[in-house]
Amino acid sequence: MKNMSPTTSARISAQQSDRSFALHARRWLQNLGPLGVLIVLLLVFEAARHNFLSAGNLAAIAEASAVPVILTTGLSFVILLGAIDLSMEGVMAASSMTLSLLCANDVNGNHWGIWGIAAAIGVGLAFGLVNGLLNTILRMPSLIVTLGTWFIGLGIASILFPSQVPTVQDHWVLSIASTHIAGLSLIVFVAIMLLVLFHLLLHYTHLGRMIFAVGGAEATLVMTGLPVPLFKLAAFIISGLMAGIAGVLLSARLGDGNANIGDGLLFPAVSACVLGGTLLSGGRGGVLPSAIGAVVLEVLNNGLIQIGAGPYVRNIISGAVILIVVAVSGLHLRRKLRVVK
Amino acid sequence: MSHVQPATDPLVPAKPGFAERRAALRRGVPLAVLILLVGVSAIIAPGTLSPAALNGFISDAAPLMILVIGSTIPILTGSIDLSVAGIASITGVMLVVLAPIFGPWTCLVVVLLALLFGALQGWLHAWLQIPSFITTLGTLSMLSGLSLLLSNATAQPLPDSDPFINLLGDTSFDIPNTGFATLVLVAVLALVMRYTRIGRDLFALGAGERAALMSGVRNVRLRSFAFAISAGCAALAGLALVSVTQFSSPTLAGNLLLLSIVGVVLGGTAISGGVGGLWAGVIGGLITAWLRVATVLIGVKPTGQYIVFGVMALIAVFLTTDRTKIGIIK
Repeated sequence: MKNMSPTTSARISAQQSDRSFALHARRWLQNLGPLGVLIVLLLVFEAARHNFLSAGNLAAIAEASAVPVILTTGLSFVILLGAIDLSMEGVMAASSMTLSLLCANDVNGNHWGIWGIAAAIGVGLAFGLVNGLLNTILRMPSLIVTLGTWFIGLGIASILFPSQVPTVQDHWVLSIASTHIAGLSLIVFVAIMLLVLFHLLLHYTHLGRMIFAVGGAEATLVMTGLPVPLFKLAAFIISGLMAGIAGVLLSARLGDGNANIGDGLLFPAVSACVLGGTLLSGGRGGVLPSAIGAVVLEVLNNGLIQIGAGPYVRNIISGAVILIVVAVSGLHLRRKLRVVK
Repeated sequence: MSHVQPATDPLVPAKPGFAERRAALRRGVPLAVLILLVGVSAIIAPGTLSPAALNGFISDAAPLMILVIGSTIPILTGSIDLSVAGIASITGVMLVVLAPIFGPWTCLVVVLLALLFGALQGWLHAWLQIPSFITTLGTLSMLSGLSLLLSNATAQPLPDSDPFINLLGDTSFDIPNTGFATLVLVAVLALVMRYTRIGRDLFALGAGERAALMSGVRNVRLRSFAFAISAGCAALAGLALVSVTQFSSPTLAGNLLLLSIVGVVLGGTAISGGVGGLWAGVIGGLITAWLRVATVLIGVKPTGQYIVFGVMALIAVFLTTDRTKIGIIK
């Protein structure tokens, strides 16, 4: 009887430590889960096809992942705000056409060289700026803004499109895809560089912390008097910039300008972010988790093709992945009166 | 009554009738825009109002109108259905795939499947509390993959014995039957929206979800209904589309995703929910369909129309969104 109260307190503290253990476990699971999935997938496919982990196939996966990783890096910034950017396919189309018409090509006499690359990336930046301005200054939902600019981008690309497919002949552009270091093209290294750069930006700068804060509690942040619209603008610009760069890299790989260059890259990018643990509600995740999500999807894609599933299964799987992951990650938030539009 | 109230009720706006004027404006402006559009294009090219051209317009506009009317319903509740174009596309593919099994009933089966799919989608969105745009974006991705898979990414001719498709593709009194189908659909939905509890509840859910939930509006059931209607309409739109082309293609309605949303917002239905209605959907659909004709008249490339529609969507959303209701704009 005497030591009743100590046992109670011990029990309470045990419960607390239990809960904090559960909390830690969950956080670890959230952080390492996607990586675990990646490793499991690699092992499963290796067991099914014995040359899955060969250097050649791993290089192929790295090449395939490069552009999705760049896209998810940009998209993560916007999703961390709790917003969404659907415009990347249109931005890539516009940037690809800009690149192929301004650099040396077989349609017109332009020869802007490296400035053509800069202009194409600038197109992406401009799209991000417009998205951000419409969202912050004119106060329109990002979903509908970026839906509009998605199609505006496609429209611009098709208006720019000359009578024939412009083939890129610029040495600078083509060398991005043709230069190989250690069996990997420069595109992969560009992706890794951007990933590291924006990871550092997100976690070690004021802007990065503020982007997490906007996603976590925007109303509170507005009350502190910080320039919240500027942070949101920056996120949209980064997303546009990444889509512009992706457009350049894809054109370099294909060797021509193409209005359909970004087709089918939006869904996998969104589901990669969600899969990696960058929640659509904002404030959680980061560029590294999203990148892992992108690699997981590419591994899955590669493995499914090797097993013999057709190329269209990819869409079905990334759609299902979005739904399942969002449902599971939001399950504990369900409440009777919660408004979800 | 409202003249007496303001002294005691501080919540009544200072200018009486302001809300009414605004609502009248919201109803009137889209109609004025439509009349202006038709008038201007009739002046530029008088041939656009000839019977033959109008018939062409009807069979071009009907699928779009059906799609817009369907998409209006989820948007009224404040949700959004991005999968309608995907459903319209897969309808034709399903028609070809299922024809050997169901024979003359294939169309009915396909529409029922779409209704079921839509209901499932609405249920997923409401019961699991997943944002509607991500639910439908996910299903859109799945649908487009599925229709490519089922059709092997090729366009296939429709089975020519299908009675319903032949009926839709036919004309009566020299007017395409798809036009009549649209009218019937609008009439039925208008009755449901006006005279049943479901219709009232849809508006309530969009106008103030928390209040609606507390007064016993069945959120999950209602959202399932709204998404079932939009998917069902999308399937009808798909049938109307293939009745014209007589071919099913897995990417038939790919470009209608934007147009369906543009149609809804151009009619004055707010993306924030609770404002607008079927009438707005009809006007918006007509404006969008006519804009498609008008852009061709001015000589914009068909693909360049995306710019026109993208910009129109942005302007309409800018004008109609109720920002006080959303609070923080994501």
